[in-house]
This record gives sequence, C-alpha cells and structure tokens, in this order.
Amino acid sequence: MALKTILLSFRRVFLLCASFIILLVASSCETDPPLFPVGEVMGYKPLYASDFVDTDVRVIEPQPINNPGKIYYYGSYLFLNEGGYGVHLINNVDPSNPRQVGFIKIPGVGDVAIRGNMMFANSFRDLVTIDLSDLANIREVGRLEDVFPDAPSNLVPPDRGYFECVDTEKGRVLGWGYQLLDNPKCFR
Amino acid sequence: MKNFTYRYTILIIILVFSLSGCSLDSENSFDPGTGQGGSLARFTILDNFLYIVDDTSLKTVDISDPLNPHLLSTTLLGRGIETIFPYGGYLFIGSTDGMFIYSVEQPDNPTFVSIFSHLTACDPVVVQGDYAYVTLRDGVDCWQAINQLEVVNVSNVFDPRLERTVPMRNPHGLGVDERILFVTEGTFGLKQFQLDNPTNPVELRFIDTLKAFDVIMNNGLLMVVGQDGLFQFGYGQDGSMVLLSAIKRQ
Repeated sequence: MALKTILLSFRRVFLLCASFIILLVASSCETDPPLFPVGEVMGYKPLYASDFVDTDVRVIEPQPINNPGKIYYYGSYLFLNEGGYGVHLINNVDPSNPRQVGFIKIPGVGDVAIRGNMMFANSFRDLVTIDLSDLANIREVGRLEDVFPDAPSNLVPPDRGYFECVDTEKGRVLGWGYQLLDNPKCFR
Repeated sequence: MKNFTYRYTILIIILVFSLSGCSLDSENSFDPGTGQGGSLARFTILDNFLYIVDDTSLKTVDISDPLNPHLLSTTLLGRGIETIFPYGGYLFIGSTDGMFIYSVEQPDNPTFVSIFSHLTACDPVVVQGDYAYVTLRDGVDCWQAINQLEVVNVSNVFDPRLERTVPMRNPHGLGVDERILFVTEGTFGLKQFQLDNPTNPVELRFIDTLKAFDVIMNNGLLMVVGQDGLFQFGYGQDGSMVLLSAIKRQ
C-alpha cells in the first residue's frame, strides 16, 4: 500500500515535472502546470456572437444573478458584473437591504469605472461611456472603437488560469466572461 | 491654564483626526466623484484619466470629455497583466511577472519606476502607507504551486522589498483599511487579518463557508463577491464583523 502510494506520488511528480518542462520550453515558466479535473472554479467562458441578439448598451429590468463577477462601488450603488453580459445595478443606500433596481446590458463587459456619473466600460473591442445621471434613463453617450483590438480574435482568455474551451461550432468568439465554471478542460 | 490645556487637547485631537483622515484611504477618496473598484479591477480613474490594463499593456485614456474619450498611449508591459491599483501618485500593476510600479506624476504619460518580481506570479495588489499587499496564486517555484500573501515594503518605490510571506490556500482579491486586511481564498473562504504591525498580518478570522474572490472595503462596509453571490458586512478596526445582507446567486 505504502509502496503504491510512493509510486503514485512519483508518477504525479514525474507528470508535473514533464508538464512543467513542456511549459517551461513553451512559455518560459509563466504558467503553472494545470491540474485536471478541477471541479468548480472561477475562470473565463467564451462569449459567442450567437449569444447576443445585438450588442447595444441599454437598461432592462433586474435580472437574476447567475454568474457574479467583479464589483464596483459608486455613490451608494453597487455594480456587479454578470458573466460578461452586463452589470446588475444595486441600490445600496441601506447595505442591510440592498435592492436590485435594474440591469445594464453591456455585451462583453469585463470592467467598469465611474467618475462624475459617467461609467466607462469595455464592450468587446470598444470602450463605451454610459451616462448614469438619470437612473431612469441610463444610456450610451460615447464610444471609442477598437481600443482592445486583440480581444475578439483570441482563442484564449485575457488571464492565465482555467477556462472553458472554445467550441468552434458555436461560431465566432466575441469576448470572455469571468464566472464560475464547472470542471473546465482548458488552461493557459 | 486649564482652559489653555483644554484648547490644546482639542487642537491635537483635530490634528490627529485630519492626519489619519489623509492616510486612511486610497486615491478614491481624493475625488468624491470617482467610484471604487475591487483589487481585481483592470480599470482605474485618476482625475481626467482612465488607466486600463489588458493582458499585455497599460492604456491611458483621456476622459476629460467623457462623451469623446481618446486613447493617449498604449505601453507594452509584457504578458499576464491582470490588475491595477492607484495609490499615492503611483499605479501598482499586478501581473504574472510581478508587480509593476508606474508613476503618474505626468498623468497623461505614466512612467516606469520599478518592478517587484519575487516568484513568477503575483496577482492583485493593494497598497496602504509604506506597504503593498500582494496575493500570489498558484505561483510557480519549480513544480511546486505557491499560494501566499506577500507584504512588500514600497517606501522606496524604486526598490520594493519583500518583508514577509503568509501562506494561503488559493488567494484572489484583497482589501485593506487601516488595521484590517481581508484576503479572499476563492472556494476556501475569506480571511480577516489584523495589522497592528503593518508588516505582520495576524489572522483573526477564517470564514470557510463564504466562497470569495474579491472585496471592496469602504469606511466600515465590506462588500464580498463570490460564486454564491454578494455579501455585505460591517467591520470595525477592533476586528468585529457582522453580516448585513446577502444577495444570493439564483
């Protein structure tokens, strides 16, 4: 039993070393050896063109939180990324009783930052400005195109780590959403 | 005489308060019109400039006219650029190669100051006073994965020095506010540290039921996001912590 365990651990070390050497050669020691299976982990999921009816920025009614991502705090409001589809708008005047008041659809969003009621967000290749000064009428007011030229063409996500492999049959990848993944099979 | 002492005491109290008020928060407090991101943010705003890190570069965008933002520059930094944190006139950039420090003395033209490169993977970074707190997730030291919190002395930005490492399980985002530090541990939970000595984080609490990957700390309000949803706590500098609300993943 003990011998078997030792052999197994030798095998594990060997495998790790082998994959490490391969990685070392391939990427000069920038990533760690992937370990599979990994179960539930945070990571990137491809966003396919076919997932979006359109790429317009607009506000819709509050949506269920399925894939909570990054958060941003501004003037008693919380903005919670939803897997690259947009941000939940949460009234947090009373942190004991936060209320979802809307969902800002921003296809391909990864990050937002806000100053003076203007929200800046990435939407696939573009940087968009969204006016928040009237919460009943949140809308896109500016767009700088092709700031992120590499985003859509990549078959790998913007960060190292686990990601859901691209299924080319689903069409073109427009970007990536950061969310909980169920046992992803890819790693970079 | 008594009145005189009394006046002095009041003066000193006011002085101490205003001084500590200056050192409490990061850049976000300088401009009340700017929001606050978590440590995993890739966007940050300082005055009229939006700084963005993507996988390989730092982009500077002029947003003085928010309706017509324009890209001023793209500075190549290498690979695996992941997070950006502004503090004291510098941008602290987390990447897989280490922590870059850029000066924004000229805000339209960030300039390289130094890189702190200990192991091959540094991730989110937050800074307070003379110290940067960096989490290292699945870092590579030969074939052993390293997970730890690093305390880096950045009092000399040209020469950041490692002060201490604290072993972790799978650290992601983190936040610091005076004497309290929170570090998320991914699916393993959330850790609270006390920083009476800023170079020696002492673990106060480990909530292993709260899956967490980033936090925002704002004047006694802790916002935690994890795969189960958004959780808010009140926290005190004495180490107290109370759950305020939870918006759960549906």
